[in-house]
Amino acid sequence: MTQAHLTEERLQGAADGSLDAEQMRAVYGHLSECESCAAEVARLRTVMTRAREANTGAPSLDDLWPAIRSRIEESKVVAPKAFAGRASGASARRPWLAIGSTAVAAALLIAAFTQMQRWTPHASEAVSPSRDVAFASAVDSTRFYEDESRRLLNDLEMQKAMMGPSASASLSGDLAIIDRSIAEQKDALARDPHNIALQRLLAAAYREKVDLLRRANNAG
Amino acid sequence: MKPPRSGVAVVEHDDGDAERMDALVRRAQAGDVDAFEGVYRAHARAVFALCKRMCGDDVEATELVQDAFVRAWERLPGFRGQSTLATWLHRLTVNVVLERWRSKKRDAMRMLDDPEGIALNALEQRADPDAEMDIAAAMTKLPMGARTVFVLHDIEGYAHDEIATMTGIAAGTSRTQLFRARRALARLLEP
Repeated sequence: MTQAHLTEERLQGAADGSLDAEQMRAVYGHLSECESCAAEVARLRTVMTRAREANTGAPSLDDLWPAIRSRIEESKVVAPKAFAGRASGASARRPWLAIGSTAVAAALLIAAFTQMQRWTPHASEAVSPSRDVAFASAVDSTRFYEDESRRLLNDLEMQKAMMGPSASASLSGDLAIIDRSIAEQKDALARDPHNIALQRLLAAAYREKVDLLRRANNAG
Repeated sequence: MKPPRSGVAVVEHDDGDAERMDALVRRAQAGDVDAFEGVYRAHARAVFALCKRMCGDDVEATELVQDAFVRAWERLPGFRGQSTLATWLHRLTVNVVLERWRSKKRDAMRMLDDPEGIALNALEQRADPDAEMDIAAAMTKLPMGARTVFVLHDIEGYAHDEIATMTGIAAGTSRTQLFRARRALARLLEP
């Protein structure tokens, strides 16, 4: 069945195996009779094989760990919580319920800290270089969790349509508590914008929101 | 998403290894940084290899490894075990690399979307017929867009629509870049 040479699409498809079965049969029929196309396919396969097997080399990656650990400790405003999918009982069926008390506790803690800051208005003075780094990490964490919560809220829209009224109300209530805490933290930070503790608490509040939203999304 | 098909990231060799890794992940999810160090040591080499292939530079690759594992720590609570940890880490690392390009290299994303393959044409014209090159060196010669698609598709095993989603280019552009990258590499590797 000798015919015109294979198209580029067919040559590449034969090389990487992405053609469907019927196309593959036709292509292999051609390759068995056309040395030129067979050589082209072999040439492309060689490139792919060599690339997969290539050794990239590596510096001593153990040396990187202390820096990674340091960055984790700097930005660790709240310890990650175990995955909600391993919860059981009612909280497994309605995972966002499990975080309700945590959210309330966080809100109370944040509110208390905010009150404390009102009595100690100079707490953030004398910022050292290391505190600058820590502050930047806290700001980064806040930004990350804020972005993540926005994304998860979008994802949740579809899920909320399928929730029962009580579950939806419970979730909305928990979110409202956290949002009030976030608003209070932002107000406090507006008054004391270089206060690292406030910045960390704001990041913590956003993280609570992310955790809650993840659990709600995963519940679907 | 398909798992990486290169095998570079597969570190859970048997059930025992997988169980140990699962235990480390669970502890890390609960906030244990020491456990996360175990995750790092098991996966750092594969993550470095991915970063090095994508950026072509040792120093930048080590920076990206750090960014990737810090990000992994932050996102670990969301890891549900639906894919292997290696697959999850690779996807996360790809995003870290692409985000760095978006934020630091103004032309980077424009170069990713290079349907006419202008940069690649220039490369092919520059290829020295007398020079022999190993594949790793040849890949660093590829324009970033072509290299990215080649690494993601032919080494990491992503489909064109997945690459399109991750990079923001059209799936057809991804396919075109891939074909041209393979052709350019074949030419660079000719004796």
